[in-house]
Order: sequence, then structure tokens, then C-alpha cells
Amino acid sequence: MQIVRLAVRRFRKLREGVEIDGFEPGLTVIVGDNEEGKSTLLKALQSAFFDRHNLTGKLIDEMMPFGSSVRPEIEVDFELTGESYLLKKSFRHEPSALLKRNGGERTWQNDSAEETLRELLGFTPPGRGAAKEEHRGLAGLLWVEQGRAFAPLQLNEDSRTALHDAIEGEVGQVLGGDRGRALLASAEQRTRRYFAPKGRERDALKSPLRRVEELQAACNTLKADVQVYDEKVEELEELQGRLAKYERDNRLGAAKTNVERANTAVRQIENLEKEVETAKAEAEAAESRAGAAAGESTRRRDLVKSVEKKAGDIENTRPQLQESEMKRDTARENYEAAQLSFKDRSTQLEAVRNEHREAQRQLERARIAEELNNLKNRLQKAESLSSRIEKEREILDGTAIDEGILARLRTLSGKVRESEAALEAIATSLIFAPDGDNVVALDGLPVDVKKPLKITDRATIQLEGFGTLEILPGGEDIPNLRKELSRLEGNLRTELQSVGVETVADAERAHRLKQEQASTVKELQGTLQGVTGGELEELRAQVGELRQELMRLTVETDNDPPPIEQAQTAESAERKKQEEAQQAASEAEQTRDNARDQYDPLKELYIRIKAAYEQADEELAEASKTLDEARQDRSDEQLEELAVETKREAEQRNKAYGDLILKLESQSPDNVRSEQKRAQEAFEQLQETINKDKRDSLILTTELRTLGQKGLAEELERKDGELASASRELQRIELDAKAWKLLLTTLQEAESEAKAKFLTPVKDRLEPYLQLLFPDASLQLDGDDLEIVGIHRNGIQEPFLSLSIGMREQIAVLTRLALADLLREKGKPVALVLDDPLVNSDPKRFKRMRHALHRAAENVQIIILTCHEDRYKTLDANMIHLSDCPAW
Amino acid sequence: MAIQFIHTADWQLGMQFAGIGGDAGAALRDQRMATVRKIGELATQRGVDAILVAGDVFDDNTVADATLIQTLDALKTFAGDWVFIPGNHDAARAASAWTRLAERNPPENAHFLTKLEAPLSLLDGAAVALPAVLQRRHEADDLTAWFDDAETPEGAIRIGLAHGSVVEYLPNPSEASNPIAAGRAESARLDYLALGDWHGTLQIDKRTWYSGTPETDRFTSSDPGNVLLVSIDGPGRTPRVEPLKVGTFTWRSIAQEVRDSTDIEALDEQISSLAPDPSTCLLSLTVSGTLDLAVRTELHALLERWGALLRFLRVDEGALLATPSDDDLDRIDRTGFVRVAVERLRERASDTGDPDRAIAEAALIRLYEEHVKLER
Repeated sequence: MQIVRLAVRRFRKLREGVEIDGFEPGLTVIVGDNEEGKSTLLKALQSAFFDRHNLTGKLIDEMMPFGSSVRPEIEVDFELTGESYLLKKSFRHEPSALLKRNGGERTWQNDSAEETLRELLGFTPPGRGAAKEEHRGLAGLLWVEQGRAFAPLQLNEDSRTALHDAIEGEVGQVLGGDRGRALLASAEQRTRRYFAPKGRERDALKSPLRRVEELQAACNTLKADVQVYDEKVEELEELQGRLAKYERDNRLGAAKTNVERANTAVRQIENLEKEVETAKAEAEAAESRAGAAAGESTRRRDLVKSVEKKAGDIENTRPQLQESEMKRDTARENYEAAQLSFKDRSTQLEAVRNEHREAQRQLERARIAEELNNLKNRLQKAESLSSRIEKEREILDGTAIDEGILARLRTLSGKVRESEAALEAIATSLIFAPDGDNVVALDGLPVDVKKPLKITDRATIQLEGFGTLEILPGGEDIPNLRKELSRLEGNLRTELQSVGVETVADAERAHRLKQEQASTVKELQGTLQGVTGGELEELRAQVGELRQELMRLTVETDNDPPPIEQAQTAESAERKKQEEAQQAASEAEQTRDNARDQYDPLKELYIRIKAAYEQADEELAEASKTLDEARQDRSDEQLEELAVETKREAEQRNKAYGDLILKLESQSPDNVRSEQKRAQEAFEQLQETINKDKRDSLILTTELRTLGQKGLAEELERKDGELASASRELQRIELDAKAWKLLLTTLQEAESEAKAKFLTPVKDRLEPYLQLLFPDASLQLDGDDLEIVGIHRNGIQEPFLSLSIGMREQIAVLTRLALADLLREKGKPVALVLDDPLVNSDPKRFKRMRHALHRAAENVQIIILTCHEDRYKTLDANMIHLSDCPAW
Repeated sequence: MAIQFIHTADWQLGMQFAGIGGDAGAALRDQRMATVRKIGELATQRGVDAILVAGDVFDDNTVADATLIQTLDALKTFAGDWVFIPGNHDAARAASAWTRLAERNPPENAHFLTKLEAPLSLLDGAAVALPAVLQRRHEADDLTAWFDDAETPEGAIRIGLAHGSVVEYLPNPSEASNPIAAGRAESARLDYLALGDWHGTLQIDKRTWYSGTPETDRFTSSDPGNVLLVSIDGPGRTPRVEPLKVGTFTWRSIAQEVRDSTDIEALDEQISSLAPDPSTCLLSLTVSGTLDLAVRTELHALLERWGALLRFLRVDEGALLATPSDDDLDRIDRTGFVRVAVERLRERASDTGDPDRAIAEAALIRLYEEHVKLER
């Protein structure tokens, strides 16, 4: 197909008519500025070929130039399969369509014209309304509006059919069509019941397997239970068999008989042992009796001997006693005489001692009396001194003036004098010269008229013979000076009164006197200290104490204490007498002690001998009495006979006991007892075994009853059946799953191969173009729609939509070029109209795209509408400027 | 004195029919107990003296208590003597269904012969039952041997009861153990030897019979579902034995080769004739042969229909080979990738060396079935 001429008027932007003639069979570039209407040219072509002439309403309004209600008209001259056609279409007012072939060789009008076009170009118009891409046949694929070049290719039904025809014309029918798709979808759906898209098994497949495993486990458990049951039954049978055999063999009875036999033997042994015990007791009793008789006999003999010996001993002791008594008496007499002499001497010594003590007392009295006398004299003197001191101190204390007060008085007196002098200095001085003896009186008191009178205050002077004179001294300071003087005088007065004097001179005198008295007191105190040697009170106390001591030593009969020398002489004489008496008493005492030392041992010896003698005598009496009493009970001879008799009996009993022991030992009692124990244990063990078997049997019976109630066999059979059924189901499902999977994969592989084969013609034609732009890349197309999936370069698959817009538009344009090639070859009506298709391409790529366009234009008409004249200048293409085109 | 009794055996109460799931299995389980009641009612109706049950009353010694209770209840249908011996399934072990029954106060007319060599007097001594008591599942010795020397009152009818195999007479004995000597009835001067273990009714000699199970329980038994009405006019007289049908369900097996639509129709007719009342029929069908996918679809439609009508249908298609014909394949698709896939699957399905051959065949069948669905 080739468009030769296009004329448009009153269509959209192209309000004024324009006619473009001279479209080349190859590449034509129509250049127009923005808003000049170049894109409208594509719309005009689309409307001319695909919109019905009798469109109405809003759709037709869109065709109208803005604000116009005129009749849009389009004319297209084109060639197709060697024929020339003229297509005219008018819209809105008196719409019409006209198609002329070869200059009028055949003409179609209106619907007929459009029907013919449909057949020629192979498109399916819409039922109503404007034609869209899906209604424009191959033009829907190959005519690309501005800004759509980078979008994925979209095949409408007609272009898909045309392409499939073209491809299958080359590779045959390799795709499965709707039927293939339906079968594939069905296989996929069925397979997905069992497998997830990534191959993971789904529940529909896993759950039967799980069910089989669960049933298998349940069956195993039940089988184990059944086995346990069978084992228990066998165990029970073994137990019951054993019990029956015990019963049959009367094992327990035999064991019991053994026990009874052993018990009898043991009882016999026990009886014999009792006999032995009795015999032993009897032998021991006889021994005891024999021992007692022999002992008594021996004791009788000893008693007789003892009596005889005691009588002999007493006889031998008696002379010894008499001699001892005599010696003792002599020694006692000596001792008593010495004792008397010692008492006399002691009495004498006591008398002399008393004399001496009296002399000592008198001497002490004399000494104290003398000391007391001395102290009294000192006390008297001291008390006199103390009295004086007291008096002096009283006077001293009565004088209050001390150094401080005196100084203060002196200062005050000075200040008074100064104040008086100051007053007098400014006082009114009156000098009187009375006539006669006229008396002058001041304030009633006579004034010495020989002396001037200083008046410092208001004064009234009586002048005899004259009357009174009122004087008011002047000067401004007088009142103040007078007030100050009065204050000072008052102070001095008060101070003097407080210390009890009238004048300062009195105070001076009183102070001097006080100093002298203080000196006297100090002197007297020194003297007193010399007399007392300390405090006066201590001296008084010493005097008191000495008086007390003296009174204590003095008795009523005493005279005054003697002189001390006399007392000392008397005491010395008495002391000498006492020493002599002491010597005599000591000698008498020594004599007495010697006599006693001789007497005491002899006395002790006598007492001891006498006591022994008396005790032997008492013992002899006691023994004789015991012997007599014993003999009254049993005579010595009878006693001897009894001993012999009991000894013989004991010997007999011992022999009988020995015989029984021998008899017992001959019967081996330990063995008999051991045998009984063994038999008893054997019996008990057997009984225990039987009881245990019975218990176990009972337990097992109960257990088995319980187990039996569960219906294990039924349950197992049921589960076995379920397992078999589930296994069959699993087998069936597994086969089903595998079959669907195999079917799906086989179909998918076949489809994939078919598609690859199907795409071969497209790829073969695309390859040279891709080489121009992307030498290392291959294009991935998929599906019946020839969808561009992406490109594959450097080992990486890049989805179409993730590529840059520039690359997308380049690939989309190249694919269209390749498809156009294929379609043209297969006789399809093909022309490409591209409205500014490469606006997003960089200069380098654009340059390569020019080569591709150039190459494609060798076989297919390509019309490019653009506002980028410069980019296409080097294309060596037919360049038409819209502005240069003539009006139409 | 004459005696008339019913000889039955192999009730196998408590059998679960585990291989037959759902409602069919439940119906079979319930029917066994119902058939026991039916036997009791039949005995009452016929006025027989006793019912002798020759072992395997229970399918196992550990049947549930409910089964025991229901059994005791079913015994109420007949007031005469019920005489039971244990079988290999319910051997009189130390703990068994019998010990458990004994603890449940069984009626006085129920005699559980579980002791060795202990005869039971019937009809006040007019007859004596000699039991061969299995005390374990498998006995190597012939437990009927003692019958030969067993003393019975003069003039008493001697009836032996045993559970085991008269090996020489059984084509395919169920158990190799528990042997019973072939001439036991004669050697033991028995008037009748009532046997159990073989599930079909079978006469060994004029005095020795297997009654078979009264309610069929497997597809392989021959002539099951009967009890034997035995009449003995007096000691030494030949017994008259009449099999009576008491079973409800019929178990059938068919093995059929199918190749084309005609065979499918023939199979349909065969099933119709075998199962006049499909609700009481259990069918085990083994189909073999080579089918194309179209005929296979027909077969499946047939099986689907009978599966709904019969009490139970088991189909073994193991020997059935579904081979798609060219027509089959053309029907799916003649061109395009689907046809490529079909060819590949067919190639694998026909490759005997391919381990996934069966899977490929199944895949092909599914593809065909999907195609048929799309066609609809």
C-alpha cells in the first residue's frame, strides 16, 4: 500500500484546506511546526479510511475546527496491489464517501465505498461510533500517534489474524488456537489442584498420603495391641496350665505334709529339750543343797574354833591390862602436882601485871595533863589576838571609801570648782560702802560688806536705810553656767553622802585612816598564825580532845595527875617486878607440860588395852550364844551327815542330766529345725507362687476382658480396609496428579516450541534492525499477540517496561518495521505512519534509527510526521514542509 | 428316636467388610446378624430340635461387646438348643469371645462347647453331640480323633461337630491346619458330622457336610448362603440333608474381555442377568482387553451406571489397555502444539521401556476426556 496524495479541509486544526502531494513510495517526512496541524494529518488519514462518513453527534463535533460548523472533507489517493484509488470523504452536512479505482474504472459510494475499503484493507469497523485502534486493522498497529511510540505493541483482532496468516504462511499451523489454549488452561487448572506453580505439592495430593500414613500408623498400633492381646492370652494359658498342673500333682498338699512331718520332729526335740531343762534345774538344785549343807558344816566347825580361840585370847590379855593401869596412875599424880604449882605462879604474875598497868596509866595522865596545859596557854593568847583582829576589821569594813571613790570625788570637786570660777568670772560684782553700820542683807541674810559680793542669780538685797535692791545679773551664759554648777554640786553631794562624809577633805582623811587599820590587821593576823601554828579552831579542837583523853584515863579515886617524873619512876619499878614474875610462871608451866607429856600416852595405851579386852569378851559371849543356838537346831554330827547325803543326791542328778543331753544331741536338733524351716519355706514359696499365678491369672483375665471389649479385631479389620481403600485412592490420585502434570508439561513444552517456531519469521526480520541499534541484544517476544516481553543482553533479561522510554520507542518502532516487512512480503496492505516517533532518542541512537528507517523504506512506505526537521534532514528522504503545501 | 436340626457354621459375626466402604459395608455388617435371627426364626418355623453351629461364630475373639450382646439377643429367636463349638477364628483360648459370653448370663439353651472331649447330651440323651474343640487357632492334630473311642449311651444318635479341613476333599482349603480325617464319620460311628470352615455348602460323604456360611462374605465362595436342615430318623440311619437358602446378598465375579462397543453391550447384558435385584448384589468385575479412547469412554459410562445401581461394584481395570486410535487423536487436534503433545504422549504410552508409560497413557486419556468435554 502506498499513499500518494492527501488533501484535507475544515478538519480539526486544518481549518484551511491543505493538499500534500508527492508522497514517496519509500520514506516521506512531513515537517510542520507545533500547532500547524501535522498530527491532524494522521487523524485525517485514520478518519478517511476507518471512520464512517455518516458519523454523527459528539464524534463528528470533534472533527470540526473549533467554533466552526462547516463540512470536513478529506481526499486520499493511494495505490494498493497495483491499483490506484481515490478516496473522498465528507462528514456532517451531506456526508458522503466515494472510492474510485483507476481513475473511475470502478466507483463505490457511501456504504459501498466503505465496505470495499474494509475488504481491501482488512479491518472490522465498530458497530457505531468512531473507529478506534482495534477497528483499524493493520493501521492500528502500524500508524502510531504522537507520544505513543514507546508503548507496548497492541494487536487488534484483524492485525493478529493478518500476522498469524503471514507467519503460518511461512511456518505452518504451529499454535493451537483457542482449543489449544482451552486444553492447556484445563490441564493447568487440574494440575494446580495437585501442584503449586513452583511444583510444591498441594493438600489434594498430600492429604491422601497423610491419610495413608495415619491409617498405617493406626493399623500398626492396633496390630501391636492385638499382639499384646495374643501374648497376654498365651501368658494366661501358661498360667492356667501351670495352676492346673499344681492342682493335678497336688504339689501344695505334698509340701504341706512335709511341713507337718518336720513340725512333729521339731515338737519331739522340743519335748526332749524341756526334759533336759528340767533335769538341769534338778541337778542344779541338788548341787545347791549339797553346797549349802557342806557350807553349814564348815561354818559350824569354824564357829567352834572361833569360840575356843576367843576364850584363850581373853585369858592372855588380862595381866597386860593391869600393868598398864598402874603405870597410868603414877603418871597422873605427877602431872596434877605440876599443874597446881603452875597455877600459883600464874596468879602471882597477874597481880604484878595489874600493878604495872596502874603505873602506866598514871604516867599517861601526867603526860596528857602537861600537854593540855601548854595548849590552853596558846589558845588563850590566840583568842585575844583574834578578838582584836575582829574589832579592827569591823572598823575597816565601816569605811566605804576606797581608791576609786576617792578619785571620783576628787574629779567632781575639781569640776565644781571650775564651774564656780566660770560663773564668778561673769557675775555681777557688788561692792558695798554702807553708811554707818547699815546692814546689807542678801535674801534676808547679812552680807559681809567688806568683801565684794558676786551675784550670779536674781537676788534681792536689803540695804538698810535704803530699802531693797533687786539685782538681775546679765550675760547670756549665766543661766547655763549656774545650771551646770548646780548639777555638779548635786552630784558631788550625792557622792559624798553615799560614803558618809561631808566633804572631800573628810573623805581624804577617812581613806588614810582605813589604810593604817588594814596594816594593823595584817600584822595581828601574822602573830595569830605564829601562836596557833594553823587555824584557831584546830587549836581549840586539840584542847578539847586532850581534855576528853584525860577524862577517859581518870577514875573517881584518882587525885590530880602526878608530876610526870614521879610517874615515870613508879612505872619503871613496876615493870621490873612484872618481868621477874613472868620468869617464874614460865618455868612452872614447862614443868607441868613435861608431866603431861608422860601421862597422856600411858592413859591412851590403857584405854586401848581395856577396850580390846572388853570387845573380845563381848565377842566371846556372842559366839558362844550363836553356837549354842545352832546346836539346839541341829547338832554337829547331824550337820555332817546332812552334807554327805546331799552330796550323793547331787551326783545322781548330774548324771541324769548328762544322760539326757547325750540323748538330745544324738537326735541333731539343729538339723531337725533346719529341715522344718526349709519345708515351711518351700511350702510358703509354693503357696506364694500359686497365689501369684492366681492373682496374675485374675489380672490377665480382667485385662483381656477389657481389651476384648474394645473389639480390636473389628477395629483392625476396619482400619485395614480403610488403609487399603486409602492406598488405592492415593495410588489413583498420584496417577491422576502425575498424569495431569505430565500432560501439562508436555502441552507447555509443545506450546513453547510452537511459539518459538511461530516467532521465527518475525525474529528473522527483526534481527537485522536490532543489529543496527543493539548488536548484543536479542528481543524476547511472547504469545500470540507478539507481545514484547523484554530484551536479553549481557546474559540478563530486562523487562520491556523497565527499559528507558527512549529504548522502548526504538524497539517498538523496529518491531513495527520488521512486522511491516513480513506483512508486505505476504501481500498485506502495509504502510507506516509515525507521528514524531523518536522524540525520546538520543542523537546517537537516532542516527542508527535513521539507518533502520532507511532500510525499511526500501520495501515499505513510511510517512513520518515531525516538528524536528533538523533530525531528519540527513535522512536523504523526501521532505515536505506543511507550510509549503498548497491550499485546498 | 429321630432328631432334626439345623447345621450352620462360619457366621463370622463382627466381620467388618473393610474392603467395602460406605453404606454397602454397613449393610453387609448388619445383615450378618439379621441372618442369624433368620436362622433362628427358620428353626422355630420348622420345629427342629437344635441348631448346631460348627465354629467361627465370631470373626475374632476380640469382637466388640456390642457384637456379643447382639448375638445373645439373636438367640432368642429359637427356644431349642443352640450348640456352639469354637472355630479357628474364635478358638476357645484362655480369654476368648466364649469366656466373655459366659460372663454375660447366656440363656440355658445355649451350649458353648469349649472343653476338650466333653460330649453334650441332647433330647434327654437321645442324641449326643461330640465336639472337636479348637483351643488355639491352628492345631496340628486331628481333634476329632477322640470321637472314635467316645462312649455314648446305647441307642443315642452320635453327632460330631468339628471345624477344620478335610484336606482331601477341599480344592483349596482355607487353612492347612486343623485337619479332619476323611473317614471320621465312619470310624467314629457318627450319624452325622457337622463341619465348619469351608464357606460354601459342600458334602464330603453321606454323613459329613460343610454347611457353608449362611451369609456370603466373599466373592470366591461356591454355593454359600445356606444352612442345612438335617433329619436323622434313628441311630445308624442315613441322614437326610436339605440345603435352605437364608443369605440375602449375592456376591458375583465377572471377568470380561472388551474390545469394542459390541463387547460393552454384551457386558451390560451379562450384569443385568446376574443381578436381577442389583441392590442385593455385589459385583467384582475384571475387565481386560485393548480399547480405543472412544470405547473406553463408553465403558466408563457403563460402569458409572452399574456402580450407582449395584450394592457394590469393584472394577479391576489392571489388564485393560486404553490405546488411542488415529481417529481419537485426530479428534483432539490435527495440527498445532496440542497435536505435538498428543504424539509425544502416545509415543511414551506405547514405549514398554518407559517407566512412566502408564502415566503417559493416563495423561493421554485425560487429554481425550478434556477434549470430549470441550466438544460438548
